[in-house]
Amino acid sequence: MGTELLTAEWIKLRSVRSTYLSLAAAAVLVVTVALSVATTTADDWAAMDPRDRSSFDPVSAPLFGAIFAQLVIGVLGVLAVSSEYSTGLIRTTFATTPQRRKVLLAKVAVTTALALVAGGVILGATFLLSQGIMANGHGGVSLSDPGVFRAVTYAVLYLVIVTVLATSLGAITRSTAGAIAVLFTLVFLLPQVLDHLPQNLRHDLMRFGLQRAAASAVSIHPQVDTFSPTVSILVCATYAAVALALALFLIGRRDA
Amino acid sequence: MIEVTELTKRYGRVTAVDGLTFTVRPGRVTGFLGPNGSGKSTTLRAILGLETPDAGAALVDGRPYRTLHHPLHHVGALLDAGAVHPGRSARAHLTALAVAGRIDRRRVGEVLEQVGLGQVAHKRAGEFSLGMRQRLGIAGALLGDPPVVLFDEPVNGLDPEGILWIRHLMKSLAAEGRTVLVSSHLMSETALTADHLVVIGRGRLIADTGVEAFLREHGTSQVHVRSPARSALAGMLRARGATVEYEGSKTLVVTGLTVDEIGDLAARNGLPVHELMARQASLEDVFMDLTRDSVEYQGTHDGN
Repeated sequence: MGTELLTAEWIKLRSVRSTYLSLAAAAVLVVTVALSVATTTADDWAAMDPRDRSSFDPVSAPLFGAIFAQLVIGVLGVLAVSSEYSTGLIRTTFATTPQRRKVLLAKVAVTTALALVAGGVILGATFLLSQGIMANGHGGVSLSDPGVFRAVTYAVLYLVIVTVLATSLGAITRSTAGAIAVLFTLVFLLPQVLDHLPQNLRHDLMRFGLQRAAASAVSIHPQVDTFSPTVSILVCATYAAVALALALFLIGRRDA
Repeated sequence: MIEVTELTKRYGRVTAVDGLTFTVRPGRVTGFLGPNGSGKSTTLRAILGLETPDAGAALVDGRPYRTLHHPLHHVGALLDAGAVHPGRSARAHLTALAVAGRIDRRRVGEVLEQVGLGQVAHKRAGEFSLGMRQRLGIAGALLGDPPVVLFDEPVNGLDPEGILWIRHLMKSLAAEGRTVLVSSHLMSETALTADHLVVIGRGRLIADTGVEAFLREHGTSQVHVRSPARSALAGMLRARGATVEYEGSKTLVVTGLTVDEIGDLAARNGLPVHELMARQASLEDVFMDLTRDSVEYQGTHDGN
């Protein structure tokens, strides 16, 4: 690809405040929720019903805040593209690099790398923090327990996938509001629609919804009406891959 | 050199550019004139490979823009002064541009000084005035030291000092042998800087000529005559083949005869004349006349 495009996009990303604000907001959200869930669980653990104990997921429950953090990180990906359309900067960008697909791939690579690093640090630290609070027989687990490392890794991977999806949506819609609306629809509304289908369809289709697939991927207990964690994360990745393919297809054909 | 050949661009049913052909040569400033909505910006975007023409071609140094290697070294463009992220500093904006365009980062400091933004390079572009953003856009256009430069309405928002600065800049760029194309909807401003004019209206070519030749051909002069006997004088002038219009209560506007001819005619017939004044049609008038039929959005006359 040529590293100059990656460098240029990285300069753009780190030279605006919204990048730092998004990451800080994501971190605060995730950590706050985790602290709350972990302390409550640790306090209540001794008095909890055995059935509640066994259904409690010590990985995904404290990481519940990531459901909101994915939107914040997603906005970062959306803005990397849509802000250039809203200001007209995209014309300067394309005049500088007429190979538009390379420009988009560089943007996706840079936002995704940032999501990977930031997501890894935020979710990894939050996991360790919450398990520390729930340790010593208060519901906590360790990374070496079955499925735990996979669940944490998939949680980070899911953030990365949402970033690819969001950045692609920015290029497809060429509008900040439009991209965020579509992202919101795919993450929250489409699963709701699937959830209200007739029983037989619902049973087959719900597992394709992003929310449920993500829940399956980051859970250490098997979930009903879902694929296995690995197939589920692949389902999520398919959303991002389709969006990216569509964005790459459109970006070369439309006028800037 | 820029060659535009039979360029046509449609948006749905609207034809923005219609079979446009012209050449922009190096070593002089070419003014690209047309009313708002006449297709100037569309043409510039087509030259930069941002829009795909429906027919025809636009070539830079004989090649389509999109096939140029590291195009910022060939062409610099100011398209829209607002085209900067408001949260990004002038220096960061230009640095990203330089890196992507494979231009030495040292050029960033040089062009910032050149356009007079050296002191505010660290400030966020959102805090800039329109004039400062124009200068930042021009800095971006000059970054690759390109032999071809395009400026879309560069004097918009500039203060008088800034306007003088950009006139001087464009002339010096042309004097260095570069190809300079400057679009504007202001004829008088363009005439002060340009050596050559390309005038378009409704996406079609109206004139492609030198500024002086353009004025010679289109600069019809009128004579204003103030006379208490203007009706009698008007009849005599018309008999000599002049076009006469009434203006106010005492004045005639005469086209087709010189001041000398009108003065002699009045004297021979003993008609009093209180004022006799030649008035060169302004560039704006010529331009308005030429493009009147091709103005896309015309206001309604107010009846006067």
